Amino acid sequence: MTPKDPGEREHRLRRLHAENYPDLLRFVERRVPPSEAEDVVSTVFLTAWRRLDDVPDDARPWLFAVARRTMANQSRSWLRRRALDVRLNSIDPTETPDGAAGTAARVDLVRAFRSLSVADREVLALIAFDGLTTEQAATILGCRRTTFAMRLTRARQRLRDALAETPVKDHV
Amino acid sequence: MDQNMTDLAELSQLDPARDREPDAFETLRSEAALERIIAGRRPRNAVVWRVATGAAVVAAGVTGLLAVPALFPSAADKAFAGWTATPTPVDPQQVLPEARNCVKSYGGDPATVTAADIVLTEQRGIAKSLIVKHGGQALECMSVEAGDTYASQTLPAAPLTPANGLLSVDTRSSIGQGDTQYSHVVGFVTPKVTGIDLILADGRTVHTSTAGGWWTAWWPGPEAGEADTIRVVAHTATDSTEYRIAQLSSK
Repeated sequence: MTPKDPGEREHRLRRLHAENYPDLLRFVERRVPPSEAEDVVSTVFLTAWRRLDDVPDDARPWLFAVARRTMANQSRSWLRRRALDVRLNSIDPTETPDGAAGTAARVDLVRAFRSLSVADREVLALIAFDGLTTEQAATILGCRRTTFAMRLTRARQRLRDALAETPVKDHV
Repeated sequence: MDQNMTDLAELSQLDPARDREPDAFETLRSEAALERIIAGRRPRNAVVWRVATGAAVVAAGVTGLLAVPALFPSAADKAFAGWTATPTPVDPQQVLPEARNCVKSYGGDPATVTAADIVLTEQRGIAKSLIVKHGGQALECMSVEAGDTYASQTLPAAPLTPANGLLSVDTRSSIGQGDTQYSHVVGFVTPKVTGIDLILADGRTVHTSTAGGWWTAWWPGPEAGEADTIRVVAHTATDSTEYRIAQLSSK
């Protein structure tokens, strides 16, 4: 239960911020350009302040869900594309420990990941990128844990299928 | 993550925020925003958000507003009004500010961008599109006014070889609703192709831009988000071949 005392409310919001700001910023930056991420994060904490009574003890999935809705419902420009699609790390051969072979494998992985639906990419990213449990991820997507687990299983299978079908392509 | 989750562990290598830690300035800004929230003021960095329906505007900020198309006539209206079915190529040097803003919007250093990094440019009315190389990837950005980036996406670092030896589609989408809905396509093309036209279901023809192994076009309307209503005509020196757009997926 959220304390009614204003000082305690402020203390709780500051604690939420201290414990979740880096994870929340990373969550948002995986989905929108970094230049816009801070605005989204600020909006999340504004929402948390206004709805502090609704924030559960395990606050992270609640905050992420607010961030997800913020990104989905608000568009800073009429041309916003792929607002909730997940971005990928760039492929730099010099940063790949096993050199060309590792780079080729990552190119395949990128292609396989990009071949999936946005919904599949989001399910995989919540686990692989955001490091959430299936229960937390289910909270963010507003579904049952068992439903999310099933979607994750199917998305992983489709990723494996796509990898099996994706040879390394020559560049033009 | 147990052994059965190794695929997810491998996938985590692609996490764009894998080693990301907020720096001291970001943390200070965020803490300052938090204090303003507690004090009953909105975060200084909150911006004017344009609602996706294109009609309503929600003002969420007071200061530090960015140049977003929140005023009427909207950027969409102006971009659509000046849209042309045939694009005009633009000298990369002339879109260097837009390219630098594009890279900056992805957290890159704009000062490192040169005209040589810009691999494709086009202009349709007041809207400029470009593809710029940045690090290990390519970025595609569109700007409408004052060089600001209004749309962007990441692309593969280099164009991939189309399976049919001529062209393929990498991404296609439609965005928005009603009068502000627009379509956008980006694909790969080989030097054998001299031009690509899109024929929409209503009979309109959209001429695309090609350069450096890429091709692209945008137009007002929903077609790129529809299942398979666009015909794509690839012209070569000897003939022309027509495809359904769904045939050309690079996936």
